[in-house]
Amino acid sequence: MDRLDKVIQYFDGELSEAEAAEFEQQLQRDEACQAEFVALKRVDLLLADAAVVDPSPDFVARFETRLEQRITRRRNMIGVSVIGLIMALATALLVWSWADWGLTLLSLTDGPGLQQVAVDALQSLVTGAGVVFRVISLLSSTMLRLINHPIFWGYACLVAGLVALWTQTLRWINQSRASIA
Amino acid sequence: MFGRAQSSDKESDSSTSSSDVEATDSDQTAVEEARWVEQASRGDRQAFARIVEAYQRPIFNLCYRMLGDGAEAEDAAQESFIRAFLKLGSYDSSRKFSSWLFSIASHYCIDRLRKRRIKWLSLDELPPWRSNLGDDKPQPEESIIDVETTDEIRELLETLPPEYRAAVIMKYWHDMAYEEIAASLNTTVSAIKSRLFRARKMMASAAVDRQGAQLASGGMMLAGN
Repeated sequence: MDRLDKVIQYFDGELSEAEAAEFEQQLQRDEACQAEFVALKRVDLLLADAAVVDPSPDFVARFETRLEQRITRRRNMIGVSVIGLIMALATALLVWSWADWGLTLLSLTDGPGLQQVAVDALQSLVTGAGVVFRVISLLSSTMLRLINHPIFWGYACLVAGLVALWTQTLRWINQSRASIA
Repeated sequence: MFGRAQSSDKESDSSTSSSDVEATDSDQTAVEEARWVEQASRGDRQAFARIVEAYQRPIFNLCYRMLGDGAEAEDAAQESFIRAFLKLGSYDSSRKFSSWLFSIASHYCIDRLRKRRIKWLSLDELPPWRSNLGDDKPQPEESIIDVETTDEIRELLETLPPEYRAAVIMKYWHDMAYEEIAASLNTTVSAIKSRLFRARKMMASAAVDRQGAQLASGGMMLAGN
């Protein structure tokens, strides 16, 4: 315990009578101790009298505006994320589905060199994408009894994405009209 | 609702009727507040606006004393209320609402202080074009007489680590009980008592150094003359 600890304890009345008397004698002869006592008194006085400050008069109004903006921004971000995810899934499934049709079309065209390059590229795409989506297909096989063609899922996701995009667009238009009004 | 945030009438009144009235008022306020919180947790923004109205002064004061700047304090107080609204779903009604709100505000200010890269500058150290920026907004304490006291309080608070500063502000500006402060800062009562003791020690030590520096500069001025 250093000297300042003792000053605080004396100031707060936490010393015994004997300790307090001894400290008072020290206080009378020790200038550094006196300075600390005065400083502590000053600090306590400042803290006791310091005013509670007021915010600006329109604090609540500003808060309401800020909250509205924050909630709108959150909803938009969620909407954009969901739409992005659906569109990405739709694109991947459609690419996989159309790859087979692409191969069939190419087999009917002339130009064996170009045709070979395209066929090789598409075959790699089909193989790679096929592995991924076969895994997904296996996991959801019980649900796919009725809907077991990936192209259907691709179109379903595309439609869902377009509907979500249209709904969000309408919401943005309404919000813009409301803010202008 | 908070010690010195209320009117400072300290005349004692021994009649039981006035204390009964105060207790009744306090109970009514608590009941109203609980109703607002419940409505706000269901998304009622008007109800939450009433809560903001009730707590704007103490929360703004906490942020101002923590951050030392009026504009930054308002931004921090607004952000604290927004976080409180968005987190209302996780508020435990068995806990005192004021402690929960103070907890959000104090932790936000503590994080902000820790991220602060630029040391807080007094107005004297700012270039002239910067020192005029606050003129169009009313500053919290405008009295010329109070400026020196304000500076002194600010300097003393700056000597404290953020967690100590928060405890001092809650104790001395808002007369919060040790248990409330501990709940707001997610710590124990003994830790709060220890922090307050050490905070006073650090501030007293800083006050001694400040006084010494003032005496030294005064002595140098006299020697120069």
